[in-house]
Amino acid sequence: MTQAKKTLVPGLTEAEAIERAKAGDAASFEALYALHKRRVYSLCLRMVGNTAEAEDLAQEAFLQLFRKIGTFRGESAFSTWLHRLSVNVVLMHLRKKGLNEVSLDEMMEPQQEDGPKKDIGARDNVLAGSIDRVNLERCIESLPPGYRIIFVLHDIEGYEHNEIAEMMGCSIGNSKSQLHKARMKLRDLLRLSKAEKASRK
Amino acid sequence: MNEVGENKESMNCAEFHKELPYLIGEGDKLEHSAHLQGCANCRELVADLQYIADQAKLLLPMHDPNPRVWNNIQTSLEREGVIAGGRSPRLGLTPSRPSRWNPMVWAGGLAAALLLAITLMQTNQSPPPAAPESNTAEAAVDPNDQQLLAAVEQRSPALKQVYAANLRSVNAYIADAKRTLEQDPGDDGAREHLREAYAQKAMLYEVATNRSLE
Repeated sequence: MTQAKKTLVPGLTEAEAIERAKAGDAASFEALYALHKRRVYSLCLRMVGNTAEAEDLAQEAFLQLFRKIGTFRGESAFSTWLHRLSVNVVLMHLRKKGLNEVSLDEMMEPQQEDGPKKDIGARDNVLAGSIDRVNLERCIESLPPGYRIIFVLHDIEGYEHNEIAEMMGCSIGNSKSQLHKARMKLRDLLRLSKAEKASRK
Repeated sequence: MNEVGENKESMNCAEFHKELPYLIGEGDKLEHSAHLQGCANCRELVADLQYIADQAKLLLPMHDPNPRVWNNIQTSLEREGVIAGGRSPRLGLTPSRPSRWNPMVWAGGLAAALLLAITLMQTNQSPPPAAPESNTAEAAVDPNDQQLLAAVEQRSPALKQVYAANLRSVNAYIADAKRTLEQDPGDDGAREHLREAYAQKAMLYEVATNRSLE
């Protein structure tokens, strides 16, 4: 489906709404917001794990988008543009926050006690077929921030390692390594949860 | 645990784990790893990691921001002069025919479902991954879904696969949330997931029957 054919409502395509928004049409801004709010907010929420922060970030992403909408020339999909902008808003926020609370290096390299357990040789509790989405969402929420961000960007949002490296200001190898640690940590959390559920039965 | 090997082709588990972050996602490289072929533990580990990644791809954007977010945006844009002041009527975001849904909820859901369908069509050359085998029964499209898909196919054959994948995914969410609630009826988070999942399914139906998709 081409962008021009994306239909917001009967008689109004996304491309038309963008053109109207460029002319300052308030209803078109709202239509674009309604179309993209859930995805942008969900992205922010998954990345920061906090409702109030996620709302602020979604708001900031849309404000930046609407201020810049006149520069949108349609070389990429509008949703791709918005999405990338939203990721940058979140990352910028985390960097700023990091100045006072946690450095980017620490964000990228969670403390050892947060890391995945080495379980070479453990053969019980295989996950295949046992993950439910509610539980997966919860386990993602409880990941350390550095792991969570890479996991959300790569495995949920579908960014490639080279894109993540560029956005995060790290190497591709670092991105791969962090993603692996994130998945290992998630595996630990999911196995633990599975074992707890089994023990309750 | 495997024996310690003399070279990369027969590396031990610890060596394999060190290499794994750079092998995983590389397709053939990992599949043809000599260590993996001979080590059941590491095969299980890789299967688990792949399974987690596959499941993550199926997660939907499930959360809507509070309405105050839009109010704040609108106020800021008006103050900055990006848009004209005064609340203008929504640009036909509500369906033209009567609906039992609140317009804002309807618009949000419609937007999300449409976006989902469009995104899937844009980002996946092949259909999105199917629900895992264990969830297949629960996530299968039910008779009503089949009817809907038949109607979609009649009007827009290319969209049928997209809708089928979305319905499977949302049905899997519903099944997961129901199961969690059965285990713990006091789990408010799971209840919220269930509500959101049903809302998404309703919106998918609404979008599918909206002739603007043609």
